[in-house]
Amino acid sequence: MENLHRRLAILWLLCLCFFVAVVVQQLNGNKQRFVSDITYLLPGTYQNKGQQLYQKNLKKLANDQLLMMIRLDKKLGSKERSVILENTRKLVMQSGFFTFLEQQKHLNTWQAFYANKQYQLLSIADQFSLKKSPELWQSKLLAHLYQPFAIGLGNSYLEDPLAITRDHLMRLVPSQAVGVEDGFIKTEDDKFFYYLCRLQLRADVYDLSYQKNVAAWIKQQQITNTNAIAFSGLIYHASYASQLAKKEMSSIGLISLLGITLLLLLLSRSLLKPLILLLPIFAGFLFALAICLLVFDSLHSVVLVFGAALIGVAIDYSLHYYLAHKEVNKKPGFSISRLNSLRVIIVGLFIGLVSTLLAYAAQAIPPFPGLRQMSFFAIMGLTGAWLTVVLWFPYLLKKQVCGLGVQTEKNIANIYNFWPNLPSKNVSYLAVLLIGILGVLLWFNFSINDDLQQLNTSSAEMIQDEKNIQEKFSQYALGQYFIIEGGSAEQLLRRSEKLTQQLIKVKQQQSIKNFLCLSHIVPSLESQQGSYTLLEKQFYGDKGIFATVFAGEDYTELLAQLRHQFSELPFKPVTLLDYQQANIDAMSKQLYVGQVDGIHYGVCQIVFTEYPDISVMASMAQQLEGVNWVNQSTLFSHLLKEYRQSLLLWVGLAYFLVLFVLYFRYGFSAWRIVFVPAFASLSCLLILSLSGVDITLFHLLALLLILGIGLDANIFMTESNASVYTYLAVSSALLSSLLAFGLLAFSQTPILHFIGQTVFIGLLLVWLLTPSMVLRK
Amino acid sequence: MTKTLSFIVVLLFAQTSIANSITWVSEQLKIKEKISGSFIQKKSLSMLPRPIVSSGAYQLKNNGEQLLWHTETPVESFVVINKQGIYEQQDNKRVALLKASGEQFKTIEQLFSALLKGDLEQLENYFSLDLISEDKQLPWCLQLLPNDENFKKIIEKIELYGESSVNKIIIYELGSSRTLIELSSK
Repeated sequence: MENLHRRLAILWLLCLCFFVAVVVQQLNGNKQRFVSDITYLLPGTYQNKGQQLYQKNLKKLANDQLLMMIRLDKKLGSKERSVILENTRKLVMQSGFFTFLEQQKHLNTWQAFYANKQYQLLSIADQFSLKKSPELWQSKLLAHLYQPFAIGLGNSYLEDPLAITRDHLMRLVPSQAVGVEDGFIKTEDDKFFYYLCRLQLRADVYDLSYQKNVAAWIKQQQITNTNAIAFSGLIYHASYASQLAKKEMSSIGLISLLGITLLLLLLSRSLLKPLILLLPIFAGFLFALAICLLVFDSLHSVVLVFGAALIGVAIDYSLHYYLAHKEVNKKPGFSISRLNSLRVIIVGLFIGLVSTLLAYAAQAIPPFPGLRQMSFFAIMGLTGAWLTVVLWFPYLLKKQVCGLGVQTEKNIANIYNFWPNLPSKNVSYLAVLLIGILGVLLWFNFSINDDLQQLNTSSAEMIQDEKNIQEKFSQYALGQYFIIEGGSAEQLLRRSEKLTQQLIKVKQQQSIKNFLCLSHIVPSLESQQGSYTLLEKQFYGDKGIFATVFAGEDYTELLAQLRHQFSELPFKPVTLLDYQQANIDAMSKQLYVGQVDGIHYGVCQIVFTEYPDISVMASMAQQLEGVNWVNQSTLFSHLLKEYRQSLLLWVGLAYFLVLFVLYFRYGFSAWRIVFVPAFASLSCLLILSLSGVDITLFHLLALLLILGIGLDANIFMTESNASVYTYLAVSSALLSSLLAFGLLAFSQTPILHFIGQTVFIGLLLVWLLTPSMVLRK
Repeated sequence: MTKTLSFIVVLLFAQTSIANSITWVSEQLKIKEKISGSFIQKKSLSMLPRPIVSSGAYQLKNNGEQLLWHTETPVESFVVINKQGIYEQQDNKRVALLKASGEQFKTIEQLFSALLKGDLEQLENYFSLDLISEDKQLPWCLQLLPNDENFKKIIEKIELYGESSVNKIIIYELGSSRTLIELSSK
């Protein structure tokens, strides 16, 4: 038996070496294996492929920019303003961190893109109006000639007498409509001019040293440059989050690490043993990481963090084995075999593992990729840690160890016996009643929060900055848009034009400020052909409007030149390919998402008013074929809600599943084991609710930790007949978990704070309840 | 050294002098809430042998927020310019010639209003102003060079003439087109 065990131990060592190689090979030069994109956690039915691709492209571009808003008093003269703007530009360039994106170039490139295409750009609405009321266009032409300050009637008049390109650009580039001065986008209110500069990052946004430098530069601007009043961009938020994490690592993290080390040192009175006791957690993490990298294409960072936290439960196995080992081997003559301790504790370890695995496996049943990945990661990790304890601890721990000492045992027994023990009979009804009362109380006091903002770590000032820039410069909402699909490019563009017609009406009702659809940039072939043919017939033909208006002798030359210009430019449509290959800035090229599985996808972006009625958009999309309304914020809040509901349901079901399995070992008394984590979880939620805390998905995730640790504590206590050694192991395991997770309650990062406060209350209750619930023989 | 110092002093003096002159022009202009009068507009385009001449009446209402431009000859048209856009009045209906699209239009609308009123403070937001007539002598003449990128694309310069109100505007466009507007206020 010992030989077989030794061989298995060596095999496990070889396996772990292999998994080290797997992790190195899988991660070598491939950072993409870890994703932080929240969309990765969405079930497949939440997004179509076009939406996924658009979000991915957009995020990549937006993440690489920093926006800086400058405010200048209107009392300053134009020359003074120019000097300040020039100095700002120099400041940006001298920093060496950014490239200044000139806004003038942006408009120029659009003009170049539409060069010689003016006869194809008459909008559908204008085509309709020209067909219906040509006389209106005749007077428009005259008014254009005679209206006050009809500037822009120079040589370009011959090429574009109806100013079609100008009108088209005004529809197309409303962001330019806020004006441009010295390369800055400009807008104003009664007292100030506001300028926005777009700064392209020169290094990776996730490069920590670059982040630090940019954060310092921003800080310097906030202090010294009184004109720079707001910043926006991922790097601004990411650097803040990094600084916060670093600060907490050096406070909460350090206290936690010192606490756990001190606890293990006190328990083992050795420098080496704490490392041995922590080894199963590292081995479990390595095993889980290797297997997950082999099974999944990529791992979400949230999954990695929570999965690793759940593996932390494995400290139970180490401590229980270690203290059982101490108890078994203190008895004289009981150290013949290395496997003695294992024989004593293996049943408890096995039941502890199976019940926890069952509870975690239940989380993989609902169709949420995040929960499934996390559940798989935790199951693998716990299995790896368990194998390490079972296979290696008999060899890593010395055969001969000292017991705790008579006095220590007596002291622990006194603490343990201090707690009243509930009698074996007729208590189960009381327990059910208690759980019921807690459930009812919770039902009436439960307040939930699925708001996406709970994930936001940014400060209130940063969120206000974001809001100010959005408000002043009417930026398109990146998380709210229409996604249009078509079986062909032409179908896509025609659907986009139908949507445009509906949006024009919504804009007239002032529900939205502006919008920009793909068909604004590339009109459908039908529209372009219609525009060209209509202009040819209604304006340039022998009986056309030009012939009527420019009938006099003075205009002979003008008429001839107008017609010559038109004949020089035969119909040549603007295509999606032209758009993709155009020399325009990348941000403006995102409206055509691309072709996925034979379907073409395009986008329509919206600028909302201050209090928009977003429901109009959703109902509009329902009426139009191939058009979907996307509201990322609602989508993610909905996602959080569904994850929360699913988690609540399956945590509840996991309790019944565990109860069922434990029944085979403990009979009717199995309820006592399950009661402790159940009571602790419900009480914890009730305490939080009564304290005015809104319950989130992350509070519920922490309940999994309470379940795992609570089950282990009660199983080991029951298996060991409530030995003082086991009570010490239970108390130590709970204390180490409190130090590892409970201290997170002091974190400023909302998610960590939620987990921390839940674990802190829950585990404290588990520790208080366990001695009372274990059956004492 | 002395020469350099003298140059700096002259330069500083010149800057102060320009600022003083603009202030002087401002003082001459009497800003009224309602401005109206008649106009003659001559538009010279390179591809036409003769300038296009039109005439009519104008009215600036609501503290410059609405301009009514009534062309009486050679063809009658009635154009309204306000914050919503440029419209032609046709049988009690307003037909949009150019709808306001954000701040760019607001700029054009502000320019019309500012030029007719002679609102130099407003004009300084978009142009550099220089007095080109003899110092503090009526009628004055201001030259406006655009700073705003949108105006730079179409306007080379604007000349503004007047005494207690603006009476002549010449807009030099990029290329060789030129628009001359003579105003006679009531």
